[in-house]
Amino acid sequence: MIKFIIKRLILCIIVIFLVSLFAFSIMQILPGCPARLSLGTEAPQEAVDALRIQLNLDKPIATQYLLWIGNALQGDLGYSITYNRPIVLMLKERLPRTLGIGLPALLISVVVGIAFGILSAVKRGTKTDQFVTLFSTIGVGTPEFWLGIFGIYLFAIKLKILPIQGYVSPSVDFGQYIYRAVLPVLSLSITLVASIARQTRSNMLEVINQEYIRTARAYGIAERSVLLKYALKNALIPVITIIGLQVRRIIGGTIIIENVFNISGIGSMLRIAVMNRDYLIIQGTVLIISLVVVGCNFVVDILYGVFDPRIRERQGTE
Amino acid sequence: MLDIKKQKTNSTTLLEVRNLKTSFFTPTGEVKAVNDISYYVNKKEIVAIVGESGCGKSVSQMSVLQLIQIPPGKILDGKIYFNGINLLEYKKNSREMRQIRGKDISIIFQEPMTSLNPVFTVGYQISDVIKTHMEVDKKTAWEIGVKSLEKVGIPDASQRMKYYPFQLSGGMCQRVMIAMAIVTRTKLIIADEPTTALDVTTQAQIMELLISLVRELNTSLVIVTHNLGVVTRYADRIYVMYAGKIVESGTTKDLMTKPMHPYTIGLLKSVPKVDQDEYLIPIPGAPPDLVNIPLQCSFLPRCSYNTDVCQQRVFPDLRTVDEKQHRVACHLDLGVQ
Amino acid sequence: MELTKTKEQLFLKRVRILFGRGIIVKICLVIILLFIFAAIFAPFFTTYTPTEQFLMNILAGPSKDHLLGTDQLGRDVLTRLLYGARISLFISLLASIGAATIGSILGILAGYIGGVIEQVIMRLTDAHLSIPPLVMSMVLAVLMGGDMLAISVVIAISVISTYIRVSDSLVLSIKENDYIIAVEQIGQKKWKILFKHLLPNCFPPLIVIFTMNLGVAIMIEASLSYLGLGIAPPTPSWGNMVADGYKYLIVNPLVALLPGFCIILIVVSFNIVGDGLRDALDPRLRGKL
Repeated sequence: MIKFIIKRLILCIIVIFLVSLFAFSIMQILPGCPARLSLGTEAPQEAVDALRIQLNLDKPIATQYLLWIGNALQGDLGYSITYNRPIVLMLKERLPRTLGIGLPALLISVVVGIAFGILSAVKRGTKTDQFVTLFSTIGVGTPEFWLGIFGIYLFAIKLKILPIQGYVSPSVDFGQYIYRAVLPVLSLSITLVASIARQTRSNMLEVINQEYIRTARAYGIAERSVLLKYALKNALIPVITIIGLQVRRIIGGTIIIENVFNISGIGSMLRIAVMNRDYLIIQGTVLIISLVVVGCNFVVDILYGVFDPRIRERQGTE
Repeated sequence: MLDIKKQKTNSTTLLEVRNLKTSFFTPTGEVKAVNDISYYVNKKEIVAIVGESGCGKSVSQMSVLQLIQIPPGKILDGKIYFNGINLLEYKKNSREMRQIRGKDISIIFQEPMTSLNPVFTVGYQISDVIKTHMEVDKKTAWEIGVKSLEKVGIPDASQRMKYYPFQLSGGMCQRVMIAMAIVTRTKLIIADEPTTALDVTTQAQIMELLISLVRELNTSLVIVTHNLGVVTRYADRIYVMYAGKIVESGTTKDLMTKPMHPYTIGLLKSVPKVDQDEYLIPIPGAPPDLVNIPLQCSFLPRCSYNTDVCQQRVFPDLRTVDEKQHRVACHLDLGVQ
Repeated sequence: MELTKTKEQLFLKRVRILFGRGIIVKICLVIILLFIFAAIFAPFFTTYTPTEQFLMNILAGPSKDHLLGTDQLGRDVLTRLLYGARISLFISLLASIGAATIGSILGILAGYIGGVIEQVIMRLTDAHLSIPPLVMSMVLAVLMGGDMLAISVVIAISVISTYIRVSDSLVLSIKENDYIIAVEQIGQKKWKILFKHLLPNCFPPLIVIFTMNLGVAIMIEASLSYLGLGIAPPTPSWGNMVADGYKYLIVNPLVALLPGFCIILIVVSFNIVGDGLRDALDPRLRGKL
């Protein structure tokens, strides 16, 4: 098991390293001089040159990369050209807001999605199954921004029971937080629930038809036990991987939802940075995002090993 | 309690299947997998059901325990008397059926590796079965499990209980399945091609184990197989199935010495015998289509005796031949040696 | 008595399953064809141009002149939807074909050659996959500009790793098949094995994945345009139409909501047809794709 974990860890580090290279090199291709972009076209050339030296732009590329990565490892991602503030500070400010929408959405989606998937598989062919399948098929094809806007139209404008925009931190006012978070979280969750339900259903169906389930039934095990104990453990294993994939989607979705509901989270910071070519923010944010994704995948892999003995027994000896 | 009509039983008959019909309703039509078969198993008897793949032998056994998937399958008709009670009067998921499964009637499947749940230990699966059918706690169930593994000849049983199925060989897994079958003092074991997926040496070992256990515990055994050679050593009586019907039945001795149905004759000819230097004669043709069943004898296309009588008449009924127990479904009278 | 089915009969059987399976698959296929038709022949369906403004009649509801109303600059919504279909469909098709072709080739080569090359390609793909496609698109879009070709390339790059991953694992599993090993033993040249045996087996699943990923490409394009990083107004893209219409939600919700309906309709249709294709080609893939 330990070998398994270490192997995975090494892979993670390689991946993060490759991502950092990518993020860094992409920004090198950006047209225009960052210093000039920051100070504006009217600024005197000396000021631009001074800023260039300050930003290490005069050094060879490899050195620039090493300096950037070195600082990053120590927790310094540089300064934003647009806001002239330390990027890490901005991240710290905005992260709670993003998490305040993203985490509940992830949790709700996983729980509801798996539940729907199991229900649908177990009651295959019935109205319940048809309803869930219909819902999932449509849900997977609905863009989050449309869901958000439709939700706003329905609940905020027509029914007037929810606010249009804004975000309040739960530590400031929990009631307001819930009130304002309902629509964003729901809009984000629906696509995810659909995706997870679909995958869970198909895994569950496949497992239910396996021979070992037939054996359990042949030996008189109660149907509920068969499904919830024997089948579920087998079905959840691939679902765990799916959840890992959902993290990617949820990050993309959060960026959009933050825009729709005007929430100043990390997603909106990235968007503004992209529009302003604030390259340091872009580099740093991409790095952080991929760290999150890689981290989640790492956890998922470990869980996979925990639940499926075949993986940890075999892979550890590879 | 349901008022189930108890049939007047012969005290030696354990299981009697009458006119069982099971079909599968697929997009291409109704597949009549089991098309009216009747057979019986006495106490302490070893009965074999022989036939090629797709003849309905496995489906018939699954029907006995109502393990057929509904849909697309459906048990259309028939009675299954076990200890005098018609099992088909119980609902598929009823408590009564669940109590019979794994306790009174146990079934051993063909692929031992995939018949055990890969993410649970072998010990967990056995003790769960024990706990389901006996009023014991977890610890006792585990201990009973260890003993049952020892009984089937698994060395180092208490360690092996903690193994996962993929860590065991095919033969070991099948031993585990046999242990699961006998642990609850089963009255009838159904072995559905128990050795087909194993290599030749292991086949012999497993068969020997199964037969010795069955004799020791006075359990009845139904062996389902396509390999006539395997059962002639052990079976008391044999039923030959073809295309969902029983085409010949009788004692092993009768069928070996005086086979009457062309299919049985063909099967015997295609089994290699060590002491004889003959060529193997396979039965020509392919298994029949179970959706569009012709009215005549279903073996007709592959039968070398194909006569006018066979072409014109419908499927022959089973008729008794000399001794009371030997029956055959054939228009012709082939008293072949 | 027929004992074996010929190749043709098997193919016909599959086609029958695809179209007989359910009326829903047929309906979705029709929907897709309608969209494509409408996109190509847009000028024939409407007398307006997508940028023609009727400033006396802004944010109007459906009427005889404007079947779906007008937007904030008085432009006919139906017209913009039709032209928007052109943009969305063209970009996602181009992006998907590009990603599928290059991605599959890379994946198949990686899987077949194996060794260091496979490790390198797969690690790079892992790194690529750890960046959400929308993020990747956003970052690349700013580099490449906002015209249709550039956006297509951006989206193609963002989705390519799915194809690499899938085709690699496909090849790996096919390689294990006994008949490949048998053929290798006989001494068939590696290139011949690749083209004659491996590739034909890769096509069906790849086609299914392609159909399903068309929807993904459309969603990314719409999201990009919504965020203002994709196709920019006044060129109509369903995404930027929603963004524009959002401000006028109270006055005329249709402007913002209708483009979304179109997206949902076509993405769901692609998914359903993809499912149908998968069932027709090989129902065993059900759990994997």
